[in-house]
Amino acid sequence: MKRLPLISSEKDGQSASESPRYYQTLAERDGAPSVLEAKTREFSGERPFEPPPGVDRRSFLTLMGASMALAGFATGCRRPEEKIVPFAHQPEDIIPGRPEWYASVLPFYGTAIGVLVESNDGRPTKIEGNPGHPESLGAATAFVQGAVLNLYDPDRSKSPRKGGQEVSAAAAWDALKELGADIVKRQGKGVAVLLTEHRSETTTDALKALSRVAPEAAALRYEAFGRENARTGLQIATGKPLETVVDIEKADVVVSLDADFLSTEGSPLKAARAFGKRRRAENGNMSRIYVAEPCPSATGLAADHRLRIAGRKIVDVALALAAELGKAGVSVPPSLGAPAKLEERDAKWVAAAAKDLAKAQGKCVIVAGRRQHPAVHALVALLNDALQNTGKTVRYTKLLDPMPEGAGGLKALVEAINGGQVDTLIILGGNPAFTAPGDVAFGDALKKVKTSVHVSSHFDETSALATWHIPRAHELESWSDARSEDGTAAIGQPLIAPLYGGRTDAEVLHRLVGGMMSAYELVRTTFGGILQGGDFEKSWRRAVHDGVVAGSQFPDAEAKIEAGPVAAQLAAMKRAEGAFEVAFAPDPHAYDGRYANNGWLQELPDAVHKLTWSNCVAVSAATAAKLGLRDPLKDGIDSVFDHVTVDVGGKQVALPAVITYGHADDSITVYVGQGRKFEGSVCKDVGIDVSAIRQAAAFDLAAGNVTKASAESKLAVTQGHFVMEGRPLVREQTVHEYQEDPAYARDLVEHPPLESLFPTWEYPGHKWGMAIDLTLCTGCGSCVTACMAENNISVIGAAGVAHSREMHWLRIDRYFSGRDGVPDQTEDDAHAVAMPMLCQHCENAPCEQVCPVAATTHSPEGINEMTYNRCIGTKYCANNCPFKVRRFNYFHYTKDLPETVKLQLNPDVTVRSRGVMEKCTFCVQRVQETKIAAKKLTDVKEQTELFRSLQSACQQTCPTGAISFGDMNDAGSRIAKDVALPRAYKMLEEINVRPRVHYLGRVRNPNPELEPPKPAGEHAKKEAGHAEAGHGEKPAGEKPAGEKPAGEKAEEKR
Amino acid sequence: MPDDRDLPHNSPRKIPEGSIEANKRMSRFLFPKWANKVVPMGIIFGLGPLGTAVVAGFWYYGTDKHFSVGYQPKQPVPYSHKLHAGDMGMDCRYCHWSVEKGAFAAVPPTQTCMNCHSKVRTTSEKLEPIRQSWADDKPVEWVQIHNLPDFVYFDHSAHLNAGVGCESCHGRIDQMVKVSQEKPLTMGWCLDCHRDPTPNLRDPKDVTKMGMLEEAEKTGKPMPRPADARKPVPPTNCSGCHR
Repeated sequence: MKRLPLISSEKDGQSASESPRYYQTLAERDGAPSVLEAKTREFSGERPFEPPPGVDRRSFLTLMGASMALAGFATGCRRPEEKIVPFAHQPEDIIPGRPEWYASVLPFYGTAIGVLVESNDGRPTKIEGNPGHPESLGAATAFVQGAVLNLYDPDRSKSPRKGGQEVSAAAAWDALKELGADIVKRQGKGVAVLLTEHRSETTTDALKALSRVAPEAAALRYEAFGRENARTGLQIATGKPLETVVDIEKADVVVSLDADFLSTEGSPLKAARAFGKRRRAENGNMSRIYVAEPCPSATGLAADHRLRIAGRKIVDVALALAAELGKAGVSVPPSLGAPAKLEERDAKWVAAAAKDLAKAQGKCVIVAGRRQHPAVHALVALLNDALQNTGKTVRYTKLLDPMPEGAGGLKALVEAINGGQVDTLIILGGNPAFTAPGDVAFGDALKKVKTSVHVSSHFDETSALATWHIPRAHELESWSDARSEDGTAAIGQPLIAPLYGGRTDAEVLHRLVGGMMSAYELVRTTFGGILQGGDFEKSWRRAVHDGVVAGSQFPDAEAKIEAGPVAAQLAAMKRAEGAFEVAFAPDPHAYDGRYANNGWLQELPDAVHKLTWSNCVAVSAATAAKLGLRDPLKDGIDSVFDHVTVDVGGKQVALPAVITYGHADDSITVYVGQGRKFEGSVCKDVGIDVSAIRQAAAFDLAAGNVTKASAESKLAVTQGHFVMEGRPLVREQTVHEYQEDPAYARDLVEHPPLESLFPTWEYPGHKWGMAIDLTLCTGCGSCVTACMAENNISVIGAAGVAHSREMHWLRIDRYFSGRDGVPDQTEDDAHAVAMPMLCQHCENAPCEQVCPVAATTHSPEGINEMTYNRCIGTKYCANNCPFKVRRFNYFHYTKDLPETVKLQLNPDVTVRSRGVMEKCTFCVQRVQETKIAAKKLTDVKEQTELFRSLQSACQQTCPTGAISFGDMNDAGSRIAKDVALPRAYKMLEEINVRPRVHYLGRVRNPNPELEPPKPAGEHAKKEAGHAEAGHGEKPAGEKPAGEKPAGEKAEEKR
Repeated sequence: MPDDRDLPHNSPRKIPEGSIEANKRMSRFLFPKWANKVVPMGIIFGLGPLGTAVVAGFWYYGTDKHFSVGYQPKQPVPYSHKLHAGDMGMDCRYCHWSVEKGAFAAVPPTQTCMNCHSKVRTTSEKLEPIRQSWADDKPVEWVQIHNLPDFVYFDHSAHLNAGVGCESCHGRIDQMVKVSQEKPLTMGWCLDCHRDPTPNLRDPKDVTKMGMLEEAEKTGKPMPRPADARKPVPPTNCSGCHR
């Protein structure tokens, strides 16, 4: 007798109640009626289509009918004549329609990320990481992905301006030369140059050349989120200007003190790649990660032990760590100062971390966060030295261009301007009028400067106040160079001529000394010094081609870390005292404001709050309750958030508060970078400017007061969109449990033999599949951005996202859970798991069975295809998708794309119009391209290699390497190995849709001291349950890897 | 049987109502009884077939097979494929050089024309646009003849490497003074070959040779193809061409 598959929903699934319960929102956990209702619906409650305002239905239909009829008659029978326009003079090596790849480099995060850029017919369309570059290793972050859209930003400055009026490029160029001559005449007196973290040696050289002829000119660097704390701390500890380079791959134990090193700080891609290598349970030797931080970050979510603690208490954590290390036998200088008393929970965490660190001397690392006081960085350097990590997991190298930096430096500059000491200011990049601390009235000071030049991509807040504005070249349109944090040199190669005649920083500085060299010549001159020995032309071409100069990193600097000055700094350090701590963080969308006009980034739900198109204040649930804030994610999902007024030093800013489970109490995190005054087509009226409450003296961590404001606003939060029924979707275990029962994730859900009415399809050729390792996913969102760039996914705006109409083919669900063994005390103690969710390419796809026009079909290689030209938009497929991954084009989103933005579109993917459904295609354009290329090869081995090099866009960019994709029939491929792992499971396997996307169960590596392993008996009981349910004959744990999961086997027997 | 319908009341002369004369006079204003059937019959036998004919006509003739086949636009330069590829026997790939390498068969840059025409027929009036383009570095804008919809991703190189000749899709280009579209290029037409490519397969070395297809049809023998040539498996699923 056939049995219907048992669907283990919340009510009747025993297995679900045994594992920790996962929920996206508290409303979901508590079973709020609105969420239960949302789960049963496929689309949000609003009408699917609103006619334009002021038009009733009848006249709308009349108009539509008339325009359609007209369109029918006017166009005639033949389609319009199209032209083929070949070159007059054909450039070498360009094959029409075939993309070219060029290496380049983008400075970001205070380091430089090597990239490979795809060029289609001369248009840069897609950025990938450069596998040969040590700071990228083939990966890219969301910001790096988004850089290509910045190039095509229609609001970029198109002309130089003098006093706001457009002038010709020649006039501006002449004026720069005159200004330079004047500066030289004055020996640089009264001249200041304000730079960003440009990482360019060419710019540094040009600045040196300027200071040779104008020795009195001052230079300083300002970044809203720079590395000045780390550098100052190291200067204190070693007495030298040095840069810290951390290698977490060699570390068995990583302790992060408020450092989001996997996502926004340090060298995030290098760290994420190392994380990926050290967090595979199969390989053994899993590293353990401790994170102490106020606001959950991608790193915090991925950590084994996350301590939620206010940023101002981090110094106490560090001091307590020093004391505990001393107790554990590490030779820590005793006179560092006593920490304030920690809470019991915190002290326990510190003690456990210290013991782990002491056990792994020379193989561990402590990382201090960007916003921590320099004294904390100095102390961390000292502790790392005491743990014998210097030269192993932590290296120190020379600083590229030591100069005054940070908010303090900017404040001094403003004072100098106000004191009349500076009358000429050259600002190279950045937007200090927007990013400057609130108490440093940079804008007002800039207005007083007699001659000011702002070199900037946009005519922005700073440009509007400067006397001169020069368009700044994007990295992809001019020659540049950048040294990464460890000094590795790379050449930034242009892919397109400057769209609006932009110039680089180095060119402008060079012009000031009267030079005539182009950016290309300047960079070549720099590399004359770097590429020494051998044929220069040859090594230059090699460096341009590779995008990196092998072996060019700075040697380790001599760094003797002294305890005395560190202790003195710690004693002198002032802690932010006040009712509330106010911590500042770069906005996940806008960064410091430079990405505010980038639609991809604005619409990317951030890892923690799942917020789009706004910035916010993050508060813990407990603090929110204290402030009397309503939690919209608890009461049912309406996304209306109360505002809070944040008062720092008498300055107030009110902005929406998003309750963030896991945030430290009595501490808030304010995201900086939104609320631009610059009226870009994307960033206009997005978010709130908070620079008023950011003050030079308390730039990163401040103290203040927080009160509930009367206002509230509806935010476009994607949390709670596309919620799925509460089945055990996320499966995780500790590494101890994994060793005992590696197939736990696969066998968690009991179900009867899976039988289908349809015959089983064989896949003898290719069998495309994907595996996503939940251990490695940090939820950073790089894959989502890469998918948007690769697949021409529309940006629809805040209003659309609020209606749950975001077009992302790939979303990252974030689930909260109480942890096994630890009672779920409050929602703030919940831990989070990120789970990428995309079309599962079900072999038994429910969507295919309901499409009335066969627009969604199955390929013989197992890809669930979506054929747009067939789709008539019934949305039945989305109704029937249990994963809620299908997206409908409610409007013609691509119709009004600016001409420049159209240049970014991938020519290999159809640009969708209104009324069609779309979804993840497994990057079928890449699959097809590879298949065609493979057909031209005759050697089977070469073909296999080619297919193994095929990557989906999300896989290629994933910083931790969580995603694998490829031919599951190729036994030697990574995907085949991944899906054969015992912890590989398919989501909703019990409803027999047979997904092609496999998830690898999350394995954490907790410290047994903090999280004792569960008794073994529980697992044994669970396995017995499986056997009864007919899941498989053998106990799950004994199955050889490589054997198919039991569900499939049962079907074959039939 | 007298017609018992109501009669109009505004008769010019007074005639007693209901009289035989009156009925006679008025009957000429009335439609005969059979006229009741004209409209429905007209619809059934007149408009119906006409409408069907129009729809069927559009259905059949309003297709690419009839609208696109024979499309022969005027080109900026009256280039004769018959002269170059036919009479002089130039290989297709001399101009369409990327056809085996990429998705598109490149229309040649002006440079390619000038390779010969800087020496041959240097004063020809017809070649003026070419010389102009060479001098100004402005491309010649050719009119596209074989045009697939934007949602179709056709790859020339895949077809040529499999051994499908140019003439299978483009016809006897070597005989065309002015090129026109010969095949319908519809999805059904594509699928015919994708389902059974054998009649169109030849030695990949011979892809540009013209006339082999006709020869094979005439003799009934397949075109020569090495025994060890890769057996192509053309996709018949959607994503083979639509992405």
